[in-house]
Amino acid sequence: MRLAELQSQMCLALRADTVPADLPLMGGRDPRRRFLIHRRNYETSLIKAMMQKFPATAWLVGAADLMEAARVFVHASPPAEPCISQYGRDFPDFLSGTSLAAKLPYLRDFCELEWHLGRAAIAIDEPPVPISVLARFDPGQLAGLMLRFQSGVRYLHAGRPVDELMQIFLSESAPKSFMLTAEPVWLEIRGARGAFEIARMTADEFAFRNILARGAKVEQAARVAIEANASFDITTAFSNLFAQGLVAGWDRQE
Amino acid sequence: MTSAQIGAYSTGVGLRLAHLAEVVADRPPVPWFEIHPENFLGNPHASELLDEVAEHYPISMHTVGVSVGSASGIDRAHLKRVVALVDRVKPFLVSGHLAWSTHEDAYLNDLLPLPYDDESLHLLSTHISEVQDALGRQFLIENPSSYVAFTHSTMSEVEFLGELVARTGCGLLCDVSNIYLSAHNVAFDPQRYIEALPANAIGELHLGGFTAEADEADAGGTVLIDTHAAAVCEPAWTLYTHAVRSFGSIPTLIEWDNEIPALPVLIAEARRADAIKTAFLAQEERCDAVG
Repeated sequence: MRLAELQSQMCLALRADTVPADLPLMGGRDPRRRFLIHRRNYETSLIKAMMQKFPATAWLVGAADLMEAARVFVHASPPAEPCISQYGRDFPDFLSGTSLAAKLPYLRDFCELEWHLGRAAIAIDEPPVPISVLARFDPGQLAGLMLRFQSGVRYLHAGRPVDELMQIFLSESAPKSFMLTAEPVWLEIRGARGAFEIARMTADEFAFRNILARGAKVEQAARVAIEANASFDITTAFSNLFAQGLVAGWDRQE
Repeated sequence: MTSAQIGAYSTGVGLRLAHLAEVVADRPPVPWFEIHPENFLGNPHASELLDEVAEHYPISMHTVGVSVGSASGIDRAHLKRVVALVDRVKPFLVSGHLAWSTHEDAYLNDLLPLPYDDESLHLLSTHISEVQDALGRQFLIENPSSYVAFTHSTMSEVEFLGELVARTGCGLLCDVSNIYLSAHNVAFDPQRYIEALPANAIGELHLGGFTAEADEADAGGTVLIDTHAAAVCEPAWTLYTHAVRSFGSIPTLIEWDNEIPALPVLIAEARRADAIKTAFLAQEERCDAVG
C-alpha cells in the first residue's frame, strides 16, 4: 500500500468508529485494537483542550454533556493547524446545532463570549496611538482612515445578557435562581496579558466600533452608526477610541 | 549556545504553560528548558513571556507540528512560523518527530506511525532536508513511541533512523522512555536498539513517564501508553544508564506534559539524570587514570 493511501485510511480510521480490516498493521494479537490507542489520543487530547477552553460553558450545560458535544465536534471539525490554542473558534456555532441549544437558546452567545474572553486574555497590548497623530491628516482624509484595534479587543452582540451569566460564573457566586431576560446586549471584550473585562455599549457605538475593528473605513463606520441612531455623535465616538487606548495603528486608502 | 556548551551534566526540563509565570518570576535552578513552539505561536502573551525566559536560560525547541512524515506534504506555513520563532529565541537545539500528524488540511494532534520502507525514507529525507534548509541548521529527529508496526516495513526503526542520518545529516533525539515503551509494545530488545543507533548523531536524550494499561489487543497483556503523566519508571532509568554508557553525557530532558506536578518534582527528576551522568563520567575518569 502506498504511503498516501495508507495515511488517508489511517486518517479516516482516526475520525470514524471503525478501523479498516486491510490496514497492514502489526502489534498484539489484534493490531486494529492497538491502533485505537491513536484514535483515543486524538480524541481525548482535543476534548481536553476544549474543556480547558470552555469551563464556563461546561458549568452552564454540565461537564458530561459538554464533553460529549466536544467529542462529536473534534471528529467533525479537526484542527486545521498545530497551534491548539487557536482551535475551537467554530465550537459556539457547532453547539447551536445540538440538542443542548434547544434547552438553552442563549448557549451559542454564551459560548462565543467565553471564546472571546479566552482570546482576549492571551493578547498583548501595543502602545496605543495618541489622538494627536490625527493632526497630520486633513479633515477630509480622516474619512478614509482604517484603524487597527488592539488585538485583545473583540465585539459581541448577544440576544440575552450573557455577560451577567458570565459574571456569575466568574464570581463563583451562583444565586438560587437567575432570570435571563430576552434583552439584547452589545458587548466590548477587552483583555491582555491574562486579564480581561467586559463592557456594555449602546447599539450605535457598538456598530461604529465593531465595523471599524473589522477593517472598515471611518466613513463606513460612521454611516453604519448613524443608521443605528441618527443623532450618533461621531466626533465624540471617534476621539473616545483614542482616549481609551483602543487604536494600535492605522492605514489609509487613497 | 551549542549543546556542548550546555554542559555534560545538565538535564533540562520541559517548560509547559502551567509553569511559565513561575519560571519568569522565580528563575528556578534549571540549566535549560525545552519548549514546544506550538504552545507559544498561537499565544502572544506566552510568547512574550518566553522572550524573558530565553534571556536567562538556554532553550531547546521541540516541534510537534512540523509533520515530516506526511505524504500530503509538510505544513510550510507552520514551518515558516517555527523558523521565525527559532530566529527570535535562538535555541541550542531544534527537534521534531519520526512521525506524521497532518493529512491534507487536518491536523490530527497525535504522532502517528510510519512504515519503514524506501518510500517513507525518500519522503522523510526530502522533508527533513527542506526543514534543515529553512532552519539553516541541523534538525534532530526523535524516535517514536509505538503501539503498532506495519507488515510491509522493510527495515527496522533503528536502521531507518540511521539511513535518515546518512542521507540528510540530521541529528537524533533519543527518547529513552520511548525505546523502553516501544520495545514492550512491539517486541524488540531495547538495549540492542540503543547500541545500534549512530552514537555520533545523538544530540539530546528524553526521559518521560508512561502509563501501563490492560492491552485490549492481547488479553492478559499490558500495553504502555506514552502519557507523559508520571515520573520516569525504574526500568527506563536503567535503560538511561545504558544510553549514557553508549552515547556519553548528552543533554537530557525530563518531559511531563499531563497531570503536571510542581516544578521541584521535575527538578528532582532532572537531578537524578545528572547523578547518573556524573557517575558515568567519574567512572570514565577512573578508567582513564588506570589506563
